[in-house]
Amino acid sequence: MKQSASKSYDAIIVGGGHNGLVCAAYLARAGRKVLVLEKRHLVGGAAVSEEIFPGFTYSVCSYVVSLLRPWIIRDLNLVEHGYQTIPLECSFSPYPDGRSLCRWSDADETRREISRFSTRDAEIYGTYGATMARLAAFAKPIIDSPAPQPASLDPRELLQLFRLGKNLRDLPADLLEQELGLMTMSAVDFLDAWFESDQLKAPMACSGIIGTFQGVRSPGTAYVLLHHYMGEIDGAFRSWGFARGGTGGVSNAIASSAQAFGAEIRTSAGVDRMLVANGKCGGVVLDSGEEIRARTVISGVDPRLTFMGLVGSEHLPDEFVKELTRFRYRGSSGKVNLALDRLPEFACRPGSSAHLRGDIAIAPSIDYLERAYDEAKYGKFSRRPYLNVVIPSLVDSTIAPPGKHVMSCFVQYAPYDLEGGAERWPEQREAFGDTVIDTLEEYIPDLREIILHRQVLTPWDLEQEFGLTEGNIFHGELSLEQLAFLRPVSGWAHYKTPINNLWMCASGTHPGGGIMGAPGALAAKAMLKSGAL
Amino acid sequence: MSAAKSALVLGAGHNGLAAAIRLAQSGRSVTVLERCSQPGGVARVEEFHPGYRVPGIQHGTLGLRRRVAVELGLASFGLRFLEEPAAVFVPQLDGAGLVVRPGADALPLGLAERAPDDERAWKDWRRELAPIRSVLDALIDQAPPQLEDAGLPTLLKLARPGLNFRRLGADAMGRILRAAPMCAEDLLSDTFGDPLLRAYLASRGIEGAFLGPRSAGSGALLLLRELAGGNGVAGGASALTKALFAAAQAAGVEFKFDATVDALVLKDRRIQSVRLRDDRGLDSDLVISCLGVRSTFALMEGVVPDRERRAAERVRARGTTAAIRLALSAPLRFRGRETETFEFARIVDTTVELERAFDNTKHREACSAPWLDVAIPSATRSDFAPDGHAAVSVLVHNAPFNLDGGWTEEQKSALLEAVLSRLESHTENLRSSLVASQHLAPTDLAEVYELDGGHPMQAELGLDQLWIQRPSVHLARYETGVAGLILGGRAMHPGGEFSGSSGLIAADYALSTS
Repeated sequence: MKQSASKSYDAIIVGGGHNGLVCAAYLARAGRKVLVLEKRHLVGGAAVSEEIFPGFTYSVCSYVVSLLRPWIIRDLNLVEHGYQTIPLECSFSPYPDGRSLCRWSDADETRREISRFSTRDAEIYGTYGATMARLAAFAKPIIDSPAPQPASLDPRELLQLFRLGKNLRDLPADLLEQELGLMTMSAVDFLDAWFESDQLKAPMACSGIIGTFQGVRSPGTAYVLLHHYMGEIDGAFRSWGFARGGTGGVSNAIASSAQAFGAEIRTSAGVDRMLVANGKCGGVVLDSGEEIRARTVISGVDPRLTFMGLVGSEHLPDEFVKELTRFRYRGSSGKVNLALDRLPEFACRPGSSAHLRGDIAIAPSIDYLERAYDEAKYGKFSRRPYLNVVIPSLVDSTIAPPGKHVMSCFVQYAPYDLEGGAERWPEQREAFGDTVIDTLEEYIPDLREIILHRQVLTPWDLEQEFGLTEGNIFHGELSLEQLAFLRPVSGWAHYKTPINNLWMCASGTHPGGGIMGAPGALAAKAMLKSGAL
Repeated sequence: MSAAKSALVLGAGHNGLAAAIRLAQSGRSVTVLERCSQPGGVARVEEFHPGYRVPGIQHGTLGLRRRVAVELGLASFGLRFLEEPAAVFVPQLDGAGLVVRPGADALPLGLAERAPDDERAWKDWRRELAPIRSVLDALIDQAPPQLEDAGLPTLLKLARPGLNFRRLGADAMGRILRAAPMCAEDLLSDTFGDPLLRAYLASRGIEGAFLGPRSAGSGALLLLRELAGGNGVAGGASALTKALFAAAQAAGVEFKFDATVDALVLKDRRIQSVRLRDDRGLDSDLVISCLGVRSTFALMEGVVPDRERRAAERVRARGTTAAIRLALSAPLRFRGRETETFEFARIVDTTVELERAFDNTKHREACSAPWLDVAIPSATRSDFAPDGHAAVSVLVHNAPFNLDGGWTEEQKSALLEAVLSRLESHTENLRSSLVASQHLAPTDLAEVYELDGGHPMQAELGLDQLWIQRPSVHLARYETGVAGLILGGRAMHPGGEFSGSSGLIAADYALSTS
């Protein structure tokens, strides 16, 4: 067995996803000697840009950014390291009857669009946005600090709980009603209380289900609506954006920052297992057999891969293993990336492209979305899925040849547990891709003629290629019972694990998935504060 | 000496009766106004075919809290709690099925044979859940705290259940907080192996809710029913009605039956009087309405407070329940259990089947295989059917109020047929002994029992319509925004099948603030 005896590290981070990189950067910034190990040939995890087809750069998995915490951008000087976002200008939804709705960043324009469906909804839309923004401001401290521990007797924890309670109490009555509703209702029930138009509610409700195995009518989906109002790009609320050069641009900026602080990054360095003895972790063994030791090992991969895959359940307490097996993944989405010969034209808005410079939701009605979910519950991918489509090449000329375009389609529902077993996905892959194209063709009649290349990623592929257990893009479902102090396991929600010197820093911990960077940063801070490093 | 202050109670259901007794106990002179000719509300005894009766659409009394019986002195009026909950038979086509005592620790009979590992799992589950009871008791038996404009005392009151809760210890707390928002399907598949047990328990998480076993919140309802239920009383819902009615009369409560309320007359944001359909007006400065929330607001005449009115309009009450009554010329015999007599049965198969049935419901479609909640009151009481005959009440929980195309006679007949064929597959003698039947679609229930949206609970159960949100944050304190007009029906906390609790707490609240 080879051994790299020459160096000793304070910390090894397993997995170079955006959270692993954020964690590495914070630790390096604090003067610690850090090594990031990434299995693939490039860093970024699910936040990567790759030239899959010559001349075309796909944001292979994750495709829009907004939640990356502003304090992380500042702390890590990410702008200097090339982090740049281009705001989405609108949200566009075509309907089968030839009508369409586009919500613009311009409020008056949006009101005019909505009033074609409902004047009442058009009038109230602005108030809704303002209300949600106020509620988001209330929720933000929660994603910017470690999860409160209701069972703890530590006075600081109690104080934090008290503060949360007080914040809640200080909300005006009407906001309080909305806040409680958000925590307990379905996205549709919540929106029903505001709006009457199905065409408006359907695309809005979608933000409650992205990446979950829930339907828009499932209770508990309303709170995710807030995420849309929590996004900050350069401090501007409610904006989602593209990263220049594709989503990998975010990861590259963080990696560059980490390296500038002195962190070392090795790619094509897959970890085979962690070195655990007597309840302590002392390093890792690479796929190559190379052994690397460190004072601390930090997992940037999901909980199941960490503990069942790299640690081994024999090193863990039974109760912990039991709780881990109960932690649910159930990936529900796939991705289809297209290289296009020219800009696609939606039949409902011919001759213009302004409405394509944001995101496009194929979510024509609440019933459509709910039926898409119903099929997935019984192990079938949706015959007519919900699609969230972007054409980032319209605003970023670096990712496609002139005149050509990249179209990225997020597809839901694609249940990991396909009828007959998840391993049937490879044989279903092309049929799944065809379903997506068929769905889009109903709105873009000549789509097939302009496709130069297509890449189809099923939940199975997300697991095999990107190490996302069961294809879950958030490292575990973001359902209420898997959030905050319950993520991933009650009693182990503060980035520590039952193995000494082994920590967690990725989306399987509080506050969860999305390109927030918060788990990585909060984990680094917790480690430094506890004196573990 | 001045005359006793008066109070009016709308509705002589269990909540109305409980409220009336409490008000009378405090010295008020109370009149109950009831639209029908007898008390009981949704539990009133009805003769659906000459000689055959059912206790309305209320199958059990497991929700009756001991506190209600004690504080209203119901024991003196013949009310007796059972030693253990009545058995519910859960049959299965290709096996012996289960016999469960809902909410009790007792191991379901047949479980050990069906799934040996589940015996241990059941015991562990009941043991792990036991500490939650005391927390639930504290929450259920009192008014939810007022969150708006809360002062320090309210905050402390709010903190108390939280502190009790913390005393359970980190492990138990973690388990409970994790279980509460889960869906029944996940909660149960984490716990039990037997599909039939899972289906039975899941049905307890979706009853009275617009939920399937895969909907979040169904786990909380399941836990609520499993832990906050009592043993029920001898004689069932009709015996409870009788005791409450007798107690009310003894307390001096006056009853006006066949009295339909036409309007609640308001003046200066106060209740002034209640006008009946026959134009009689009854003045009172205190009215407790045990009607639905929407119905109560619809009756208001005068300046209605805007915030509360809008909140009332938003209360969700999408009925999904239909009632089928069957008159049989012989006792109902279950296949393979011909010699046994059951008062209750629940026909379920798997959680997937329950989910598919809910798919139909939420898409406003008729369901060909609904799950059935069966009560056979004649099994234990002789006055519900002629000697040797049976009266059967079936509640069907997959019947959407707003069925596509409406509840036509064809649709109702199809529902009856679906119920008969499902029941037939588990019984020996159903069709041969069928004398008569009655079917009530949710739209019928809305009329017969004056239910908002045809919903037996007057407001859906679900995480967003419980406790401080039952039926809405702005209404959860039993107040309507109109001084002296208080809500006390099943739509209010704790509501649902907690017979009489809402009425009692509403009356206490009214007395403490008036």
